[in-house]
Amino acid sequence: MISPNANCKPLLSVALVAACFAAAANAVPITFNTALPVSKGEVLFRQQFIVTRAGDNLLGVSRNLTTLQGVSVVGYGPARRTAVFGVLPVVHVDREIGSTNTEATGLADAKLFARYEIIRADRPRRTFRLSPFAGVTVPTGDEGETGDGSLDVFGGLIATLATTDWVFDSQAQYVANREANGFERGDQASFHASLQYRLLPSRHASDTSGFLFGVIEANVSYLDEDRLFDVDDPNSGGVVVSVSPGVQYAAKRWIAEAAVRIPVVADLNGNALEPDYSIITSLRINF
Amino acid sequence: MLKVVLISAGIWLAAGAAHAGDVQHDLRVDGMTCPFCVATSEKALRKIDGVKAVSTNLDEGVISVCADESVELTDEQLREMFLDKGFSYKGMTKQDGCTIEA
Repeated sequence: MISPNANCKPLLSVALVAACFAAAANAVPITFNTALPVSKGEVLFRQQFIVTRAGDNLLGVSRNLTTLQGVSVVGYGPARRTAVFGVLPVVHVDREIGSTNTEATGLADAKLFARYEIIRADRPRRTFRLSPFAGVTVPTGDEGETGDGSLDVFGGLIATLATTDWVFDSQAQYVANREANGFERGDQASFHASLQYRLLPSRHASDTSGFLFGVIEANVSYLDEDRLFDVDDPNSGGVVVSVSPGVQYAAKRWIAEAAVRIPVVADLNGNALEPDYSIITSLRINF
Repeated sequence: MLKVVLISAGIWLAAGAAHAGDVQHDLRVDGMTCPFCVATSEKALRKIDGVKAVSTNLDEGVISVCADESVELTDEQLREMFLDKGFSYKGMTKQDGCTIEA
């Protein structure tokens, strides 16, 4: 099923060997993975590197949280219109409260989800797709350190409107977090929108060797309060609105992208930690 | 001199015969918007035995396939193939000889 491209010469690095077998890549949102396109019988791999900072000063005590994540995403198309995905994050968490510092490194909670395309409306040089998705978050992380120990479920709907000049993706998602060992993270409802506008080539889409996109994404998240032994934590949850400008280069075989997520509204409950920024970079190959 | 003329004529006739054996299929495919769409479609078409060259004009949504005249591309076969790839095949025109490069 997967055959090497005949034009590929012997390559030394694993990355380039992978690229040699690759099929193609196209523009998709940078900050979420549910819109990744996979055709029947094809495989994609996306490797994200994410740095996230949060911090504030509470009653004279500084609180800082730095998270480094390497997120590996694998997608496969088992049938026409159907795609399944696995998301495996490895994290390093650095918590600092005043002069106290704690660190944790390891596997975080993995995600498994499936997507089914219920509407596909193709026209010359444009298309519209509508796809629900559902999945689970499995407690592969170290409980209390890199994971929360619970088996959670999530689902949503993703819509994509694409032309040769631009792509618009939007996603509504609900995450129902469940309890494990007395702790239950609050549920989360979120809405994402992503516009990818082709910058180069600027006038004609007949050159298909590669497109450079400018990307702007927006995210609204409502987080419910966490619960500890059936008692709500008043210092958790709230509403966060963020925007993520970025760039994306989509070649026939691979895609490279980077974005910075900046919170513009953080209406948090009690003394919940204020989000700062995230830097997201990723490389994707379709096999 | 006569030998050179005869050899040249032979080469010209052989080349002409090979060219006359090729057929170009211009496929209209809706839903293609990006390099990915082009690459995944061209990859599938190149796997068909007898296909010699594939070229896409994304502006027009047309994929040109140069194949040996013995290759039979059917609407049903192409419709199914493009649905698997995530696009919609709309129809094709055929012409003798290829204008795209092999």
